[in-house]
Amino acid sequence: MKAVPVKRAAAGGLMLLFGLAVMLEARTFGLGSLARVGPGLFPMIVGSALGLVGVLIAATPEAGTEPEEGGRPDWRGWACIVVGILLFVLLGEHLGLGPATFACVFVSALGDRQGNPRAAFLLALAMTAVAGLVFTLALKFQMPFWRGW
Amino acid sequence: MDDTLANLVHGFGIALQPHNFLFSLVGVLIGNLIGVLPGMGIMATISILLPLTFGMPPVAAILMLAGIYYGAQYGGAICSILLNLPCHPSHAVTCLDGYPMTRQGRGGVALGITMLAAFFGAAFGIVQMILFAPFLVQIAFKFGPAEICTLMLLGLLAGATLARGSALKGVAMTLVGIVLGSVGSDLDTGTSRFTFGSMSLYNGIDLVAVALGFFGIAEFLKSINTITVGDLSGVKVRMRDMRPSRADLREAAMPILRGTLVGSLCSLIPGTGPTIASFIAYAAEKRVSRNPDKFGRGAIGGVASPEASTHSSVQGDFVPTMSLGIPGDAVMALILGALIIQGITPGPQLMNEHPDMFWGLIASFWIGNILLVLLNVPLIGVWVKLLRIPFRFLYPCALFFICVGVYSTNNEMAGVIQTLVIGVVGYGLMRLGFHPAPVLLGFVLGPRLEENFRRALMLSRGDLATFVDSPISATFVGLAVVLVGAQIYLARKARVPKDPAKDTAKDPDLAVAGRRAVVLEES
Repeated sequence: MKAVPVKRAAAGGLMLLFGLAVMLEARTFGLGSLARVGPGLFPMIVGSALGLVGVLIAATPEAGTEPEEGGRPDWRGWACIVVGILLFVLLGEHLGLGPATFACVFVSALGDRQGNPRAAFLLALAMTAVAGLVFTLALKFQMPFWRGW
Repeated sequence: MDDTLANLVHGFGIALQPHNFLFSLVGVLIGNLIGVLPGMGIMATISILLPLTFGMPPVAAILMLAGIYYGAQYGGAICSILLNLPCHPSHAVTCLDGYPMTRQGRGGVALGITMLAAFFGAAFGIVQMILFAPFLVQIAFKFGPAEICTLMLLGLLAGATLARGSALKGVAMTLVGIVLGSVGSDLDTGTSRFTFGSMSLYNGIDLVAVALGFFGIAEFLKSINTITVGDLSGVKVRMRDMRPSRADLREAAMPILRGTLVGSLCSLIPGTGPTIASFIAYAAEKRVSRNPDKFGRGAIGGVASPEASTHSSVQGDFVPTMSLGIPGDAVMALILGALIIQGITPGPQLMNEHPDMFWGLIASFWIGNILLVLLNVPLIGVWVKLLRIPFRFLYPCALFFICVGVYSTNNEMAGVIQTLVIGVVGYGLMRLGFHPAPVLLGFVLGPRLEENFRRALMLSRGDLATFVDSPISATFVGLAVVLVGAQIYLARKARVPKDPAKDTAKDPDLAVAGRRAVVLEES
């Protein structure tokens, strides 16, 4: 028997683990009986099915070759997108929609290798203006544009 | 038949009401715009706009969201033909003959033929919906919880296994979707499930968070630094270039008809949406053509047939969704979710309880498609200019809209964090070869599946035989078994004819387009 390819093992193993976790959690909800199904029975079935499918994924060779998804890792792009959204959350909570918009657009725009900080800055400025005009003024968005210091 | 006509007239009355008309116009315009812009997904757009529709009357909301879906199909073709960029997977094959036509200076004609094919395909799809849906509804009225339960099981299985990629992984993703859908308080008992003590999870995960996580954030994580702007130099398309000659029309007529039929068949099978329809239509067209050598070098049939099939399949997709409440693909799942959020229970009773919605939607399809054809001809110059907007300007703005959209569903940041987590995990899963579309099917249908499962068992006092007792549900279970059996058989033969890239491996041109469609796949 040939060794199971890493990616396939990871995909199947992940689903198996997730299925087991769901089953473990579902046990605590109360299974009930077949005539009076409790809140835990359905997730229990789903979890066990997921675990089973996980095993099957790891065990069966793919029919044909799956096209590679995504290609090379692009840490810069990923980091900029994730940090951009985190900044939106943080600044939105503490400073308001304006700064949150600016930071989110500016940082995520830096993730593109063809762009430059100047273009990102201008884009962020433009989007902040849109946020102020469209969301704060026109749509009466719940989050204040500026919460003050 | 008279009934249908009267209903249709009633539907036009609704769709032509000023604000409904306005919202479907806005929908098709936004859809068309998104279709043109490289790298922007239909799923992300609909989910971003979903929170905006919460305050709208249900009819207007659905008309707009549906308009985005079919409007985007018109825009997507422009991108494929002029730039050789399959921005939307369902238009990837159109590149094969559309772009050569552009290089021969006949891009305008290709676009003109596309409009014709699109309109014809769409019209057929709508007629199919008018005739089919009431028929399905009559059958569906005999459904009790056990039948609904088995039908959903069949729908989910078909959606998971017939769609792109490995069938097993599709099933796994459906199950993950069902788990995500069961997060929150249990409907019957109020027990909190999978909340880990978090208040924001107690109300369940929002549809918007799941959709934007998988189809917004994960999508941008995938496409950042991979999408380049196409070369538009030398492409000039004016209005009068779009008029096809009589010979062109004669050449396109039969391919349009054949493509339309392929599309309408594909739309009725869950899991085989417009993308697969367009690939089958192209392959079939090449086979029946008298001079197959012309394909790949600017054959009109190679543009007309897949485009017609895409559009007829897009409209036909609404049949199972609106009549049975079983969405065929992720976009339909999203629209179904929007209906549920509006307080409308999808299923056979929808047509009787909300005739305004159903017939208004059908009438709006006619209006929307006519508008799209009328708009696209004079606006073609504008779309061509928009094609030049680089992706690096688009995605930061889109991310901002995602944040704002998720925040506005509950006015809290917890949703944005959930979306980010779902997006990052979702992208990880995509890299492991999982496709995100079944997640949404599971997420939307899961709670209803569970509800009907529990109700059916309660009615039968715990007798599992209830799921095979009635001939209807026994048939569904039988079909599900056949489906699984067929998948195992096909996997054994290691020839699974469901992935465009594999299905068309014998045809080098198609194989290339298939791979591109898979790489660019968004739904």
